[in-house]
Amino acid sequence: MIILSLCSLAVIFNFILYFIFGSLITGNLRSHRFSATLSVIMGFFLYYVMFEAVCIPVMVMKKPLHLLAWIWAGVVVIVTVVSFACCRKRWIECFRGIKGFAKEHVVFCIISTAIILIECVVIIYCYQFTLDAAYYVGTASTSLTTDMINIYNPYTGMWQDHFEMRYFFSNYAINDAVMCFLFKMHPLIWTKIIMEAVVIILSNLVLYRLGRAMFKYDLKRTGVFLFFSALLCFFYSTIYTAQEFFVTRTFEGKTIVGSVVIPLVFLVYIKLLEDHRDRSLWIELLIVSFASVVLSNSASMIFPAALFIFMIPLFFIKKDFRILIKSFAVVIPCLISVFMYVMYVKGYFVIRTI
Amino acid sequence: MQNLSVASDGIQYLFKCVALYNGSSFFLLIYAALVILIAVKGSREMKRIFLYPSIVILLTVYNPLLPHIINKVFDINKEYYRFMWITPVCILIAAAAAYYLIREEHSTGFIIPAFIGIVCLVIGAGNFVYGNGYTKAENIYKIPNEVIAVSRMIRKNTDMKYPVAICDRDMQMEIRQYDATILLACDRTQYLDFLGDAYEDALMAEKNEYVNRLLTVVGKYEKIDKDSFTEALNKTNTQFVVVPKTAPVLRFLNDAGLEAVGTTGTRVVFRFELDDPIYYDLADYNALS
Repeated sequence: MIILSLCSLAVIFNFILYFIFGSLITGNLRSHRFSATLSVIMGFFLYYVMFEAVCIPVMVMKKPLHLLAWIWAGVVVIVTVVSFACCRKRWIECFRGIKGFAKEHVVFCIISTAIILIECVVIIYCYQFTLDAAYYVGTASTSLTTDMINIYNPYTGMWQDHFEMRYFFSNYAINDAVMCFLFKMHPLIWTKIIMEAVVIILSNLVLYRLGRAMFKYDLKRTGVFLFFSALLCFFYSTIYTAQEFFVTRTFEGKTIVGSVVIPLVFLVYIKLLEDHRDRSLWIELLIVSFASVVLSNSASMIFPAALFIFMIPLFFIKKDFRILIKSFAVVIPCLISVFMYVMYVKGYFVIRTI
Repeated sequence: MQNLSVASDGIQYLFKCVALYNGSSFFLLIYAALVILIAVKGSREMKRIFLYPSIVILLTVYNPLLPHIINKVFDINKEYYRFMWITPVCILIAAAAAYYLIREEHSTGFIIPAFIGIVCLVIGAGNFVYGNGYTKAENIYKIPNEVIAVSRMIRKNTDMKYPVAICDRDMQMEIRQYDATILLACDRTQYLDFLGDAYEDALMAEKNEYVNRLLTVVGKYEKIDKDSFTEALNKTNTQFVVVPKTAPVLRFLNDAGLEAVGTTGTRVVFRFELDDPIYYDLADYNALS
């Protein structure tokens, strides 16, 4: 019970961090009302973009994990101070807004909270055997045990003479190791309880915003939409669907791509239909593109595909060639990741660990 | 999709992929029906949101030629299905349910039975993820208690900081998640490829020779020459072998000179006295710099 309470606190702590990070973006959008849900969603992606910027140099210099952890803790403190200094007034307004919203829409808040809690309990209490956990949890536990970053093979624990480029940019699991180091927590508890809860809540936040965008702030319909989305997750089940990944492999980076990133691209598409010149939406897409590469190497192909699938209709609807140019600019991080991987596979370069 | 191959399945690859992806659920059909309904009766806004992206998805993701084009650059055989995640099947079905149910002209007397009807439709059209049973996690780590017991048994019976083990498939995939100080004699891909009889060229077969011998016994439960097995244990520095109690190789392992140091609910942990043990330690990167 004590451990579960600590896990709940860790989940809340994560969301506070995402909110703080996200405020740096959403707090400076003068054209938009400050939104807590958008701040959390964008904060999640900005958090991983910034983590990658710190992680890659430390990893390439073959410095220990504990150094990365302390640098990252320092970055988080600095971001918190800056965000507090810039956005505290907006935070106060925002909390008042949330209080008012909860009072005004009690039924919606109760139903949506119940849906999320039921999902969390059902998914987190379940044991699932998955082969990919050997990589995702294995990377966190290996990095923590060896105090090095991606130097040892997560499957065997043996030393590798070069960095595996397939996972070079996908450092989602390394962040798990860093947090385990800072909180003195076992990687299995961090990944399979805390991050699972984080992903479930985050996915529902995106669906909530999607429902609100589709139904023009009609919360009754949004509530029903959330209910059926949750129900479908448990019934659209073969080992391949994004919904199955969401229910059975929630802690994996690619699950976030399927359950958070793709619905988010769809949401941004709906927003762009209203105003395709809105710069903030394109900035959001760029941050999501960067972060997707960190979450999973699969995202390097899935994100550009998803983006173009939604941007091609947008281009034909708006008849604005700049949509395609901006889309291309947005997917550059993914293309760089793919390019480097192809070059590595073809034998053009290798980054040694010696 | 381990069993599909763009090269051997040809133009059928995509159709097989779609069939496997959807299994026996009808959600893709419901999605297609809803898209057609929007095309015929939907508002301009609905068409923009759902119809036009669906057309692009149909022309790209569900185009039988696309896997062949991508496969020329990347090996897409096992992972093409992830492009199907882009299809907003669940979003459209959930949105349609919400749109249909919540209308001003509907009374509560209509909404409740209609709601129950749609819930039944969803349940009937899909596969329940816990259809084969719901397994509650045995502990806070969400791994079987056996994994913890085996890890502790290995630690208790070795003086090595990083002992090497080889286990049956499930144990092999989970043990390092709990205790990463236990090293494994072979990695996941090699293990699964060997169990699946994947093709190995001569160079790979030579490279994997010793591990393959271990996997023949521990993964496939087949007996081989005892000396050749112990040679493989020595060459790979493998001190522990973990197999199920029901594995038909327990006697073989005993006869090969391994000692059963303990049992858990369903596993036996064997220890092998290495001829010339190598005491692994971490690379010293401070010394290098």
